[in-house]
Amino acid sequence: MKKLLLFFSLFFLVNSSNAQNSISGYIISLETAEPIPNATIFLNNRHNISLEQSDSLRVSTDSTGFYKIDEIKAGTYIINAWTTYRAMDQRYAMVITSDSVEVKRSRNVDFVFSENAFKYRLHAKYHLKEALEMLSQKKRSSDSVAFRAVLPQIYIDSKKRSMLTWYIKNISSIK
Amino acid sequence: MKKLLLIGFGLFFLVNSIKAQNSISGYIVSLETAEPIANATIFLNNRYGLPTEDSLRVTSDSTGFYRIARIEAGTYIINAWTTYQAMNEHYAQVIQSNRIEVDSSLNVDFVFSEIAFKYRLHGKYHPWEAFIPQKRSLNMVARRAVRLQLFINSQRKSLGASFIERMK
Repeated sequence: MKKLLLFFSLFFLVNSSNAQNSISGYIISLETAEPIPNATIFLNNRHNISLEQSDSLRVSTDSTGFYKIDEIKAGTYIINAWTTYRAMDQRYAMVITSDSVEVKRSRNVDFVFSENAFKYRLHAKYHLKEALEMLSQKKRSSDSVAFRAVLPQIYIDSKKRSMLTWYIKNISSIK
Repeated sequence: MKKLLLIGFGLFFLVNSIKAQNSISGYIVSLETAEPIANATIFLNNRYGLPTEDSLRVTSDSTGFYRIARIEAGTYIINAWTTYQAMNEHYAQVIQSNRIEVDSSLNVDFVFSEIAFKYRLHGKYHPWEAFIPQKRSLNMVARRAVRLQLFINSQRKSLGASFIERMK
């Protein structure tokens, strides 16, 4: 009897570690509530280092803003999403990085990008002093309120989650 | 003598704190444009949600800034509203705070969202949709993302209530 139990529990253990899961969701724009097509989503390992089989775990969104990554081995991952914005004849990527996500079943992960957040971040890059004043609330303005309000967002299974980081990167020089 | 002095001082501070006049100021901004909202109305209700005197009602200026001065210390509910137009009708979108203890001057900022208003308006005319389990869609994600927001001293706080009302 005990042996049978052991056998069953082993069976489930092996089964769960081999299980193939999927991550799917929508990428939308905060300002327009419209989908963002051609955004790229990819998985890194729990230390945010790219995986060996990274190509198969990298997808982009379709015209409805939907993406789906299939055949993910159970484990802990960090999910990255990026889309591009244009400003002053330069192309920028805005990257959202999730906190580590345990994938042991299929999950919905939605990303909300914000063009205004991108503009504030870009402005801060070139006007650091002004940005610090805004953040420390020394100088309050409608911008200091808006900056907090328009931050990008991540939802996991429709619950709002905190993110590891988000940043912008000039990609004009990268071919 | 010393005791009397102490009581005197204690009384002085007590009276002083009750009579203290505080102010509430802040900005009203739009989520979609990150621009200030001018001519929004901000007013205080008492702790039971009942109206107070008219002097505690102001509108935001062209930079989205408002300031209500000379507020007696106490507990209040802060309301802000702005108007949107849809289908040839005017609607007021109202944000209501929870009860707020005003014992010093506060910064209270409101973030309105036109898309949130549109979702709310849609919900008004399609109330049954709330009871039918919906397939996951972009709209589900967007509706959550464009929430109205309230900041007190730059900390995000939960709303007491928000609603839309048709105006005549």
